[in-house]
Amino acid sequence: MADVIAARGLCKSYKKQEVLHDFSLTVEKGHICGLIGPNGAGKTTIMKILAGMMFPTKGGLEFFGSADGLDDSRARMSFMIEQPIIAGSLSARDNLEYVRLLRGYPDEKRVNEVLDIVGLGDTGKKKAGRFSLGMKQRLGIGMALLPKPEIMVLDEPVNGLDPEGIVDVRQLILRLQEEMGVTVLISSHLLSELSELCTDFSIISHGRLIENLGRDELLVKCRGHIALRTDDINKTAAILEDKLSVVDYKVIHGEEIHIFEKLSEVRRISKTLTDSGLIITRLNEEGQDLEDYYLEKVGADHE
Amino acid sequence: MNNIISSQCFICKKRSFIISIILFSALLVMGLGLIMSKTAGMFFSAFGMVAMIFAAAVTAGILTSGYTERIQMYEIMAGFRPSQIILGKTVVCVSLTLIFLAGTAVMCMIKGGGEQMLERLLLYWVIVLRSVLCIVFLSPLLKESTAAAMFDAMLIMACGNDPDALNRSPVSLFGYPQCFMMQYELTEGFAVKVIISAVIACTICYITGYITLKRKFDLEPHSLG
Repeated sequence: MADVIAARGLCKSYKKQEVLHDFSLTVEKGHICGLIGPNGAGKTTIMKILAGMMFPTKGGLEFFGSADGLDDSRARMSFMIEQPIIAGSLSARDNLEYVRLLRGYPDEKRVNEVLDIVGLGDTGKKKAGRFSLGMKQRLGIGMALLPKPEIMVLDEPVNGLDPEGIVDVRQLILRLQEEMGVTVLISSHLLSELSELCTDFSIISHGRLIENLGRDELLVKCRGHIALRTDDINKTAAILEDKLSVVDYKVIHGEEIHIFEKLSEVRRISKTLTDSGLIITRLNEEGQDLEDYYLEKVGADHE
Repeated sequence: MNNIISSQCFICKKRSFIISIILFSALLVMGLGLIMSKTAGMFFSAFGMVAMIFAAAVTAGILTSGYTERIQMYEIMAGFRPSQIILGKTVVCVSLTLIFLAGTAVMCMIKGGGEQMLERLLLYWVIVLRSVLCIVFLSPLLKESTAAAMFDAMLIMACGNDPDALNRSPVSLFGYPQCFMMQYELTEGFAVKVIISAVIACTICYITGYITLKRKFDLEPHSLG
């Protein structure tokens, strides 16, 4: 499928401090891409560059397969960056009405529809400035949602939401993707949320891209396995194949074997190997989630 | 651009009460001038200048609220071009100012002709429109401090009450000092100075605002995370 967002070699410096270095990212149409990174990694800077709120020092952007007319392309996109941008002196309805008029969305009923979607239908004339953080967040999402964009760029959209709100936002994003084919670029500190939501992941640290990977790749990389180290890796591999009929395994850097099958037969594997005269120096049942994988990657980058 | 106009009109509608009060105050000052000022020069220079501050405050207030609440970011994120943003806001703010200018015209008609009344009225309109346009054009640069564009009123104090000193000073190129100088007899040179300085000031301010938006200079009023 075609890439609807493509950032190539983005660099951004503030004075002499480089906050983004040669960052590239592509997001396919209809995908949900999670941008993961620690505070100060450059996630918000990337989103601001996409939103047209700042220029990159170097690098280029393409939306919908074209580098021309980026402003016109932005009219087909919605952004929610940092804390939601809302007029505190206006009600939720008026905030949405403002966006409707600005984006030229013709259907007035859309405001009520969005109020119901984000659960703010009963706020009446209460000023948005008096909303709780969660309500402001919902309103910000509503304002991004209102013009029925083809791409949504959401920076920490579940920040401040209660667990129920987080689930609602997740289901909403999934529904938008499934029913309307909306492409989403999302950042969040709640990695467990992203792991349930995203089809692709971009890990970023210190303004540099660490890894781009799809959900399937992540599942393979994070899937449960038996980590095994012995005094002779080649002989171990031969025994695994011949005596234990293990086919799905991988030798890591020539010193460790990850076995992805027969996870319940650790004792049998151990006994067979020791009976064959091998000395086992490590035998662990392991498995990662996105959080572990991210920490491992970012940790390696720090080192 | 129509969308910018619609959304700005919506914001004005939501602030219609305060806008009405300020515009009414501006016209009230002119009304008082009608009763209290003995000459047309005094009418425009003293009362006209105070009323002009009120009229310009409407524009500054509307624009500043957008920057204070950061909702002007939606204009950029929605992909509007700098010229569309600036001109859209210009249409709305000038329309509101025209209400005030129409009021001044009515009062001049009540006060009657003579004493170069028509010339003074037209020059007054030029000065008021210049003030409003400069505020609109400079707003992308000044943001929450948009009202700072009205501070050239303070420059009058630099030259005191001496018309000759004021006329020779560069201060006479600014709007409020020119309004102040309308209490003296109008000359052709003064009229030309008012018109040309207004055109130049508006051009410089427009280019400044345009470049600020085009180059995205510090669009985000909050510190970058």
